[in-house]
Amino acid sequence: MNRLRWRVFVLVLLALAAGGILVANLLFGSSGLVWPGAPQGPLEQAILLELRLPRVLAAFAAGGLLGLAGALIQVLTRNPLADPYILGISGGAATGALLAILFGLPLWLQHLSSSLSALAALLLVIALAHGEGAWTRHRLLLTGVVLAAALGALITLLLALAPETALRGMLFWLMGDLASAPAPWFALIGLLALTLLALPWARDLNILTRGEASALALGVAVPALRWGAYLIAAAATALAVITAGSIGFVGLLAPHLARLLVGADHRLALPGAILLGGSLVMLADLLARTLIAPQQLPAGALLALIGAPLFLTLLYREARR
Amino acid sequence: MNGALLTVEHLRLSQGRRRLLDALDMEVKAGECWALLGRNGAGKTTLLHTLASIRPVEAGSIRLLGRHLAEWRARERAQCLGLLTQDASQGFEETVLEAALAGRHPHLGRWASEGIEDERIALKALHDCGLAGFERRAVQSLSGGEHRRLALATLLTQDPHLLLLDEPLNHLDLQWQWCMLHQLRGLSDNGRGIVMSLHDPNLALRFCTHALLLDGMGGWRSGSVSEVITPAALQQAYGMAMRLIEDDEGRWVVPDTRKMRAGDEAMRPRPP
Repeated sequence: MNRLRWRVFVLVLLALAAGGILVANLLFGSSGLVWPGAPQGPLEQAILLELRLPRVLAAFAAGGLLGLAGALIQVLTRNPLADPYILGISGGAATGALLAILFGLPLWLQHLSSSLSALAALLLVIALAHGEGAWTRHRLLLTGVVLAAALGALITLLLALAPETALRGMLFWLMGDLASAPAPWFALIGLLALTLLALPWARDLNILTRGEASALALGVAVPALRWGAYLIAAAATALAVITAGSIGFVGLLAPHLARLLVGADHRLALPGAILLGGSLVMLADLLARTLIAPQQLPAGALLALIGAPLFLTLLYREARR
Repeated sequence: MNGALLTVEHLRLSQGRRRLLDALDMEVKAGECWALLGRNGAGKTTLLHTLASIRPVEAGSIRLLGRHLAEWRARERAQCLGLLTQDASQGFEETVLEAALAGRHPHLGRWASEGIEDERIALKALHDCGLAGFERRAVQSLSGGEHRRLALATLLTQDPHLLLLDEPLNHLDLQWQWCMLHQLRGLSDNGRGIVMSLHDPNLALRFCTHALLLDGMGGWRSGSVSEVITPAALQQAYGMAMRLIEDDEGRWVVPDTRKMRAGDEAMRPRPP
C-alpha cells in the first residue's frame, strides 16, 4: 500500500507541474513577460485574458484529450506503442479538415467535417478489422496502419492540388497549431466529460489488457467496454484535432510516460496520461511562442522534435531492463 | 452446496466444419473433480471456453447453478465460475500482486477498490502457489512455471464455486504438478467443483473423481475415473497400446511396450 501512496503522490506532483506550466504559459509569450502583480494597462490585460489564457487552456485540453485517447487505444490494441495516429483516426480528421479548408468552408464546418471524418475513419477500421479471437488486435493495428497510410497519401494529394492561398493554413493545421484555436471551453468540457465517462471503467480496462478470454472469464462485459472505449477515444481525438490541429506523439508518449511514473493501473494511469498530455502540449506551445519570438512555430512540429528522442530513449531503456 | 453446479444437456461443439462433440450430457456437482482428457485438437479448450460462456452455445443447454448461462450477468457469473486459460497473457507491466488481485475484479463494485481483505486473499493464494515474496516483482521477470502458478493464484483469488482449468499443469515441474493438483483436490473436497483438462491419465486417476474423455469426432465417455480411464478406452482415444498396472498403492495406465514390440502395427504410437 506504500507503493500506492507513492503513486498517488506522483500523480499530485504531475497535477502541480501542469499547473506550473499553465502559469508559465500565461507569464511568457511572444510579446514578452506579463507579470500579474505589476501595474497593468488594458493591453497587458487583454494579452493575458483574451490571448494567452484561452490558448493555454486549449493546449491543455488538446493534450489531455490525446493522452486519454492514446491510453484507451493502447488498451484496445493491447499494444503499448499504439496511438490515435496508428489507427488512422487523426488521418481521417486531418483529411476532413483539409477538404473543408480547400473548399473555403467556414470554421465551424471545418470542425464538423474533421470530427465526422475522424468518426468515419474509426468506424471503417473497426468494420474492416472486425473478427473473432486472437486475430482481432493484429488486424486492428494492421488495418489502422494501412488506412493511415492511405489517408496520408490523400492528404499529400490535397496539398498538391491546393491553391497557394489555402496552402499555408493547411500546412499549419497539419503541423499542429494553437494560434487559431477556437474557444477552449468546448474542448475543456469535452475533456472533463470523457474523463468522467472513462474513469469508472478503469479497472475493467486493466483486466482487458490481459486478453479477451481472461477478461470475459473475470466478468468484464468485453464488447460493451470495447465499443465504449473506441467511441471515447474517437471523440477525444476529434475534439483534440479541432482544437489544435494535428499534433503527433502526445497520444503515444503521454500514456507511456504515465505508466512509467504511476504504474499500469488505469485508475492512476488515465489521469496521469491526461495530465502529462496536457503538460506536454502546453510546454511545446510555450516553446513555440517564445523560442524565436515574435515569430511563432507550429507546436505540433516542436512536440514531435522533443517527443521522438524522448520516446526512443524510453524504448531503449526498456529494452535493456 | 449440494446440488449440481453445472448441468450440460445435449451440447454440440464444432470447430469450422468439424464436429467435435455431439449431444454431451454432463453434470458437475459440488465436491467433484473432473479430468478432461483427449488428444490434441479434440475440443478440450473449446468445451471449457463454451462452459465458461466465452464461446456461444451452438446447440444444447448449459446451466450454472440451475440458471441458463446466457441469463447470467457477466460479473455475477464470474463470482461463481472461473476459468484458467491455456496461455494466460499478462497485462501491461504489472506486479505479481497486481496480477493476482485481478481475480477480485468480479467481487468489487464499480466504485470500489481492493481493500485489506482482498489483499489478504491474494497474498494467501500467492503463498499457496509458491509465490510468497514475489509480490513486488514485475510479472515479466517470472519464469514460465512461475507465470503459470501466478495464473493459478489469480484464479484462486477469484475464488469461484466452479473452477474450469485449461491445462493447469503446463510448464509446472513434477513437484508443482502434484502440489497444485493436491490443492485443487482439496478445494473440491471442500465443496467446490473442478473441471480441468489434463494430459496425464495417471494424474487424473490419482487426483480426480470423474473423467470425460473426448475422441474429437463427436464421441465422448464420462463417469468416475476408474470407469473412464481404462486401457481400452485410452487405446481408442490416443491410438496407442496401453496396459494397466495395479498394486495396493493405486492404478496406473502405461503404454504397453510389449505389444508394441510384438510387431502389431496397429498398436504402435502413430500420427493420427
